[in-house]
Amino acid sequence: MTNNPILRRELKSALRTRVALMLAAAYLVILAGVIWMMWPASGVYSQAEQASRSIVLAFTVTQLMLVILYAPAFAATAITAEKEQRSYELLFATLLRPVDIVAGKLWSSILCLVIFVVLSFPFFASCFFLGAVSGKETALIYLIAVVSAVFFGLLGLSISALARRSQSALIWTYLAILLVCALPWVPYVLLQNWAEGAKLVYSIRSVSPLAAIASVLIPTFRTPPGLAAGVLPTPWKVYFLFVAVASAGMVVFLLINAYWPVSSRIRPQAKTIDDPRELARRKLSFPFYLFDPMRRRRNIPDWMNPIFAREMRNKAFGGGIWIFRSAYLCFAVSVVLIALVAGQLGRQTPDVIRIVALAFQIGLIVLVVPSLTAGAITQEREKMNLDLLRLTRLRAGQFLRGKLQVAMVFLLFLVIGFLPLWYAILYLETNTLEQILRCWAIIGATMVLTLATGLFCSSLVRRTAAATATAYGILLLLSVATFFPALMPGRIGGSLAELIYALNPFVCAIQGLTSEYFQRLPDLWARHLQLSLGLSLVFALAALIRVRRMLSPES
Amino acid sequence: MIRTEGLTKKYKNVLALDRLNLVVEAREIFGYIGPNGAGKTTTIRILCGLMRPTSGKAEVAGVDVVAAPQRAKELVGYTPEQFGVYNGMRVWEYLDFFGAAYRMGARQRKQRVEEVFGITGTEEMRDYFMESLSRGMQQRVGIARGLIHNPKVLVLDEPTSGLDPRARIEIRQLLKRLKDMGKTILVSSHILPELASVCDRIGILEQGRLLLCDRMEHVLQQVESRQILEIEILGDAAQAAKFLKDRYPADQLEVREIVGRLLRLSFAGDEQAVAGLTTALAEHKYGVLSCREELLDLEKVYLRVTEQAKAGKRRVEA
Repeated sequence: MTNNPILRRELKSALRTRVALMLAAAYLVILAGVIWMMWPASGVYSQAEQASRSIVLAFTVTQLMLVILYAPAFAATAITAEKEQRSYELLFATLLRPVDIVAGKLWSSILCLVIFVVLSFPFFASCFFLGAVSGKETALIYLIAVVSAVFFGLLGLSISALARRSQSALIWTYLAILLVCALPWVPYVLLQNWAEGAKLVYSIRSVSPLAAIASVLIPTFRTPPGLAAGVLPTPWKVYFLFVAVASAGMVVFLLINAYWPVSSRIRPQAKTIDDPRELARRKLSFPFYLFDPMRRRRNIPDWMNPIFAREMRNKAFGGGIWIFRSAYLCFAVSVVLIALVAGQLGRQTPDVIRIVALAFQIGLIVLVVPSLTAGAITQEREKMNLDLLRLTRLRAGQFLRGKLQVAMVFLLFLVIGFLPLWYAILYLETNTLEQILRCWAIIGATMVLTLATGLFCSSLVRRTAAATATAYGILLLLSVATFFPALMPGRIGGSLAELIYALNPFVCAIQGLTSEYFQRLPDLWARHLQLSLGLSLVFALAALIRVRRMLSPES
Repeated sequence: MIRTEGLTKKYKNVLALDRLNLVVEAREIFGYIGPNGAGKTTTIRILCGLMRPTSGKAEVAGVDVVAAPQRAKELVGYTPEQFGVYNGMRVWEYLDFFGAAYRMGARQRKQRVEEVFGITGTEEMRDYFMESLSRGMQQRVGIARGLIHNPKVLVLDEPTSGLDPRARIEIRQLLKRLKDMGKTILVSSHILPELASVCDRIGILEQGRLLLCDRMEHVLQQVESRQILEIEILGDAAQAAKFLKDRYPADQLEVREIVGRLLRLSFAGDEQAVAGLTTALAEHKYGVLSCREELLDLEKVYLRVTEQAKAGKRRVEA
């Protein structure tokens, strides 16, 4: 394996960069920060087993989050980067066998992640010496982290083999990892009162790595309530089995893809369609006929921002229809939720329905919306169009406005896709219009913040993949890491906890719409709007300054 | 039309342009030659208002590109060696977009797009998707894009790089057509014979310094005042060379090379002197099978000039 030139090159190029050093430093600083914040201020901490375990739990969950954040950065671009640089075919032209190429890519992506996991040993050792966690539990915790790193690495690599661009590979990988981590929890949340299906619901939940970790550290998690011990296998065992089967499937897929690659689609040199029959056929088959690239004939109107017009023709409606796929997904989830509400299938409380609906909407915004703007500037650079734009009379404001307008069009479709969900919430008849409007304000502010974050990252770094990963990193910090006060209520409290919670869109929206969750905190929505919009303004201004510098002559 | 005075550009410790003085007259095709890293693209980027020089002055049609880069952009159309295309857009949409980016009205754009299709001979590509174009087609569309706002000056960076012979011929014809339309064209290229056939004047740049800048025919004279003769001898060429060395002074004749029966000489003298030389050889029983003057092409000129510069014989010229 060590003689594999791909592995050696990939590892060298991945690990000797400044970015790798920064990522490793960030990984360790964050983990050290978690331990430092939860470390006992006085007394013999190990005597309080629960407190010691809470440190280990916080550490392990943070480590898993970091693996989730880092895995796509290393694995999802491994093959797409080669495709973008047109060097992938060159590899196959050498004497290397396809299996060597796949193995090199595979091991390099996985080893980078495993190195990060191993780097955290000294920090975990300090937790271990607090007691309360056995050697077997420690080994299991690390095994779950390593297995997750391998699994997510494989997932990223498989998506990279399918995708053509690094940005789309990154987005799909993050989405896939989120599905693996969060989706198994949805039946559990919605159907936990469904006694007949308890075995099924608990088995599905065990597929998530979070459930696997919880089952190691929280004894009550190993056996579902109402079921005798040993009826269901331990969740971490189910997780390992799932990962083994899925990983084997992905390895087979990668090998098939290497030996029999799928040929890329080539767009025909199409003419404008004038034939009325052909037009009628396209009208029926193409969902948004008005934007059909095959019938565009008009010049860009004088009143329209040329960047907006070009983006609409070039990306949004010129090629793929992924925008509509997201809207379809919204509709599909909405229909499921409406069915659950109407049929009282899981005998769930209205709050549960609302939490699932909010988590889905805000989660989708956080995952999808940054991708709309993260490539706004970097793609112009990567495709060598920035110089051509600099030659024209476009101004920085006009440029950014055009990019934002296109993102807004997409958001409009997303908002339309959300409407049935809100119909389901309205159907529950427990929320006032004011509460719903507040919630919408929070969702709107989250959209603005995610757009601004993507734009800022795109102006900050040179590559789209890096910009997308940075944007996800910032948003993960704002929307997931801000749950942290919940893990350590004794250490972070009062106004600091309120400030941290006020940054979290999930917490603020759930507080506003439900009657049980986060009700001890003061009303957070107004503060959330101030913080989100303020931060968005800062990001947008920074992006404007950067773009103005880019469009002006280089010094 | 284009004028630079003492144009200097420094990147950290690298001097990319060293007090460059360049003049390109209106309605001429100027060939800009130099090895990689000589400073050609830096000059072009400064002239297009994409880059600020460290010092010196650069003007296009009397407009200072440093003081008024926006105004300069209106006067210059630039086609870089490599440029991106927007996938999913057709050729006319691509040109229309750049017209809009230059703030042209919709009606004016519509008309101008048709005009540049006519000028560049790209009408048949109007409905093609940009990503489906071949390299040669893309290059022609790139020139059409550079012309969309009807600039006075067109700057082309390596326009024939990577093109097949037919596409090169088409680009050359296009350049001549543009010149006839009154455009001033600055073209940089590595493929020197390409430039020789279309350029009125050339400038040779090396390490940021302009080594030579003149009309093609004057360049040949400047580089080589003596002609190169290739004489095929019936008999011992080495003996014949010795005979000629003894007969002519060193400043008039220099034996460059002896390859089999072939003698390569550097000789100063008119046609009569050449006739005298061959007669002298024949009289001394060195039969002359053939005698021809070797013509300098642009590649040889370039090599000669850069060699002279390395040897310190050629100084920076204005």
